[in-house]
Amino acid sequence: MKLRDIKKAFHKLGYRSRDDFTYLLWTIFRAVLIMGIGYIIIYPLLVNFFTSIMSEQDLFDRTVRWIPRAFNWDNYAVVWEAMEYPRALWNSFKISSLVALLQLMSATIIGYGFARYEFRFNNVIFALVIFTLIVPAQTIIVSLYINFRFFDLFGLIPGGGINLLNSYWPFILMSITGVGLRGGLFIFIMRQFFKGMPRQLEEAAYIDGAGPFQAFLRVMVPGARPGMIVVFLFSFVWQWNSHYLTNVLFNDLFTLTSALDGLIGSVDSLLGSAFGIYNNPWVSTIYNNTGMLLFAAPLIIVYMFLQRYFIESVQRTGIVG
Amino acid sequence: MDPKKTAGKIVGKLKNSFKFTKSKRRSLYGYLFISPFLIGFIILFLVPFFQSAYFSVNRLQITRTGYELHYVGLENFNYAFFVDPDFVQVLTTEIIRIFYQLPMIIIFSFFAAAVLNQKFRGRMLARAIFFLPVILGSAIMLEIQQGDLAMQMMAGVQETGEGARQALQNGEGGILGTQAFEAFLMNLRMPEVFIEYIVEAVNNVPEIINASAIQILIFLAGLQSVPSALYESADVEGATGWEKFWMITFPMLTPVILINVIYTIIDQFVGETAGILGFINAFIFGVGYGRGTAMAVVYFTVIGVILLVVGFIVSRYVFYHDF
Repeated sequence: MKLRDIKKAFHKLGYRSRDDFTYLLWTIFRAVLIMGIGYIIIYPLLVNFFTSIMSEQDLFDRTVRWIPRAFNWDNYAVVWEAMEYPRALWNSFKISSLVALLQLMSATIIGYGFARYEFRFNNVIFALVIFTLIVPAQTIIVSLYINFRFFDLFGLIPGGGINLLNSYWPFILMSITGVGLRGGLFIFIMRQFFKGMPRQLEEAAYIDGAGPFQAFLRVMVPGARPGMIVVFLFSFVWQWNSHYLTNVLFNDLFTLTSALDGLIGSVDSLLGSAFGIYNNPWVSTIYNNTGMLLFAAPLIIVYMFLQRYFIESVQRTGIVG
Repeated sequence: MDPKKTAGKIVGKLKNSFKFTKSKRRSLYGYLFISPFLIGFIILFLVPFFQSAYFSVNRLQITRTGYELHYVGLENFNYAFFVDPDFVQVLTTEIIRIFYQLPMIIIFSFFAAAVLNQKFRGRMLARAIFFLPVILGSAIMLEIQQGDLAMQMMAGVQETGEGARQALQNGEGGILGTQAFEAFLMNLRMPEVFIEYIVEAVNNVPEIINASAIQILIFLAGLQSVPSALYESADVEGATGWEKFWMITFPMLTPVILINVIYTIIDQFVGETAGILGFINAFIFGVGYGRGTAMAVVYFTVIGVILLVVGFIVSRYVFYHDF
């Protein structure tokens, strides 16, 4: 019997009982599974990378799958210039950190209010927080656009309102009031976190003579650091990757997303190619893949250093109750 | 009268009134803390929301000094449902996608979290890779990838022959080489509907995996919050792993399932990556504000109803453990 032979071999290796044997099988199965899933996740990045160092002839070459025959590192120089990389990177960084900081502030304050104070309609208003999450931005984008174009706060500002479009103001206002990009989710996270903190902390602060705001700032905020890290990181990443709102409300801001969106067009005008590479999927795929890699690179590099924080903080947020 | 008693009464009354003002004051502070949200909700959400609903029954024209509305009644909705050739189809596709992707994402992320929760070598690396889609999930990138030649081609070289390559360039096949797989299932003489569903599911494997990152994270947090005392006492009773899973892990995680169901709907069907929203957006900034907004209102209503129904059903089975 073959199976018995295998079992004997394992027995010799030091696996004694039947449980050991199934455990070993499970370990192998798990390793294969994790590697397979890992491959699927990394796969697009691999394609990005290997295509980005190819030249056109490699795409036609049937013997080339991953590693090109004619390495072509020039793609990076072209795409770097076409994306106006330093400028786009800086703009992306500016708006993402601004939004993340403000969303962090508002979510912390609002979440604390929901977590610790009993007032009428607490639950009703919190349901509204969740409600803001399930309304797609597209539903309200037109009126948002118009409201920011003629921003007058119900007629409080005279002269037909001011034009806040193409400035940071829409993002500042939306982030600071907790209705920005997935703002409701951040309020939810902070509320859960504060709910998980012991009440004794504040009570001690009150006995020491602190007011509600002091207790919040001096005691609760420092203790809420894991939750705040999660909110900041997610807010930053989602704003970085988001294109829709930025494109509509702040069209002039040349971020990495807009650079990637219009990449082929800019490569076209940069190289002055006669026929346009729009219609040539063979060439445009090389530039697109280079662009995608350059787009993702900053986040990936930061993620490599912060991923531990990223994962561990979520586990400590008490997000699950 | 006993002065002491009177004094005690007065103190008690004072205490009571102090209590009252204290709770009143506390609720005032509560409103103060959430006031940013109240302001933002009214000005930047509620007003635009009702305005949008109003736009959807109007035709909107931007003028130099503002905008003009021309009331058209339900014409925009009529257009969305009965005139536009694509909207109904796009909408149903999206709804169907909810019903087959939502369970797949929840089941997969639950399973993946259970695996990642075990102790093994390279666990940190595995986790880091599993959560990578969080930072790679840009709508722009996904959009480019869908039409990208290299992405499709590299997936296809696994299959041999010029024909396969040709087929893949036409957008058929996927990362796992499904043509061969489909042929294999055909040879087994399985019913065609069944084959289609399986092939569809397999084709969607990368999509499901990439959509599950945060859900895995949340499940993982949930798994670690299950008190180990429960497992220890189950061990004492001689429970098997299977029993422990269904009697402890699963019930303890039902609240997390609810959170994940809601999050998945928000992430996949309200986020930038939802296909129908791109479709609607093309209307909003192309053909007509009113028509696009009407479609957006329809879609939002559908999502809202589905979320309510699914949330209600799931929450009926949620088990809350009191310590």
